[in-house]
Amino acid sequence: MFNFLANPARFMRIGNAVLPWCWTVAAIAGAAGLYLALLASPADYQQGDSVRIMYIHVPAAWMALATYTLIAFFAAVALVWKHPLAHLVAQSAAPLGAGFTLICLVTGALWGQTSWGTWWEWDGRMTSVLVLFFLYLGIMALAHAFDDNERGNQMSAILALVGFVNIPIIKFSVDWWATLHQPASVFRAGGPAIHPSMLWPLALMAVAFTTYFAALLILRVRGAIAARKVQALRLVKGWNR
Amino acid sequence: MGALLAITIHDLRLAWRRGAESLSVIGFFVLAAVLFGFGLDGDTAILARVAPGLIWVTALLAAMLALERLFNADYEDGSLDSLLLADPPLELVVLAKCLAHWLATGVPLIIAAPILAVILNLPGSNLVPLLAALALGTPTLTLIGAIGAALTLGARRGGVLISLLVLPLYIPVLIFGVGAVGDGARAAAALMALGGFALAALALAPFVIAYALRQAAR
Amino acid sequence: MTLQMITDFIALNGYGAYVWPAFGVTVLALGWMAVDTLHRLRANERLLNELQKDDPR
Repeated sequence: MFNFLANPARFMRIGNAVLPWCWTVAAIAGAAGLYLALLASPADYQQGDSVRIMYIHVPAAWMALATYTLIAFFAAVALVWKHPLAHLVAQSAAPLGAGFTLICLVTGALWGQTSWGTWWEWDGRMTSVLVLFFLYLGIMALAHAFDDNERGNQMSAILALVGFVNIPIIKFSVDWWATLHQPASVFRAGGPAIHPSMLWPLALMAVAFTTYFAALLILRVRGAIAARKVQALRLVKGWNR
Repeated sequence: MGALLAITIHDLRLAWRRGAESLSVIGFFVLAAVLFGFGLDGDTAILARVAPGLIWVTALLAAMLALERLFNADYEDGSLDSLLLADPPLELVVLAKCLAHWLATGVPLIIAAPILAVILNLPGSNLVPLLAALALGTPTLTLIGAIGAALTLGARRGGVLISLLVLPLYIPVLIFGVGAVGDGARAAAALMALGGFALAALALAPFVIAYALRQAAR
Repeated sequence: MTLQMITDFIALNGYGAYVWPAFGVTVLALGWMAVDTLHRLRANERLLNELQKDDPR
């Protein structure tokens, strides 16, 4: 148990040092990104001003995928090296990832209604992002479904790894199936195929979301570590009674 | 080999003892199809179009409902521990139990499928693709479902939780399963995808399930 | 910043009815994420402080 206490202290020291930078960058990138997204970028020649939703929808989608990848990574670390801190990080990231996925789905529906005339379509990408959302919910539910916390974390980690097969499906779905969604315009071989006036707000919002996520993750892990200590102390007090 | 056969027969006998379960499973499918027919006001054109989807959803639900019992009985009476220590590798034991589950849920559906096809007005030419799709897809449903069952062993509200976990993983099987019911290149491609899923599930699921079961027994 | 400019900005050529709810939902979701995180952190740290006060270790 003291082994566990030693590492988190180091983790929290680094986290606490990084935290103010995260908030600052998030605020600046967010402000600049919003300014460009809403005011200083051109309307699309086809979609008009509805394209401004893209500056939230796409970064949110990137966050949803990146967070799940992070969770799967820490789940693997937790299962192989049995480091309890890895479980904490994975579980702390899950609600944040679910939040970004929800943002992606809702803004996508609003954007889809204006540009394609439909709120929803059962195409490859939308279906697999919906699946991603349910996977997040499953990861969170499974972790809390057992009286034994450790068991819950382990089962949740296994689920996270099993569900990772969904990530490449999301990424490549627009290439595999001809659908309403346009094919990849930023992360593709050959570089981004998007005009700088649109690429800048996109990139800035992505940076803002990432640093915001990092800040919240650090705070969530800090809270989770405190909760663990509370549990341990309560156990000790129970013995001493 | 003998031990694996014994496990399969044991599980099947348990399923049979719960009131001739296989027959009631087939009866459930036919009843569901009849209800759909009434619900859609007997509109044969609509029925024909939605028949593949309806049949597949019934397959999913049937597989899901039987999942909770897959490992629970062994877990609760402690025989899970002896299975872990037994001679055949746990992965093969898992396959034996999945076989029993599939024989109790997937196979009855495949048997009932021609009846369902008639009730739901499925075009005759689609029957063979449907049977092929079910034959490839239902084992996958069992194997993926078993992963969910193993993960939720001993959890609170395990039944609802299994459905939440397993549903997102079932959706690709559902999509390709429905897509395979037809003719032409798209249906053939969907059928191949189903085959791919089945092979992948067969190869990977037993190891995941065994891993989860070992954690559960600790 | 005339009133006309502001109303034009809100209307966004007719797309405003979609764009603003999208941004609104985002702000709500991000805000909830922060509130939940901070709430948990404060509750747990408060508990920890109380327990450590009675039992300095």
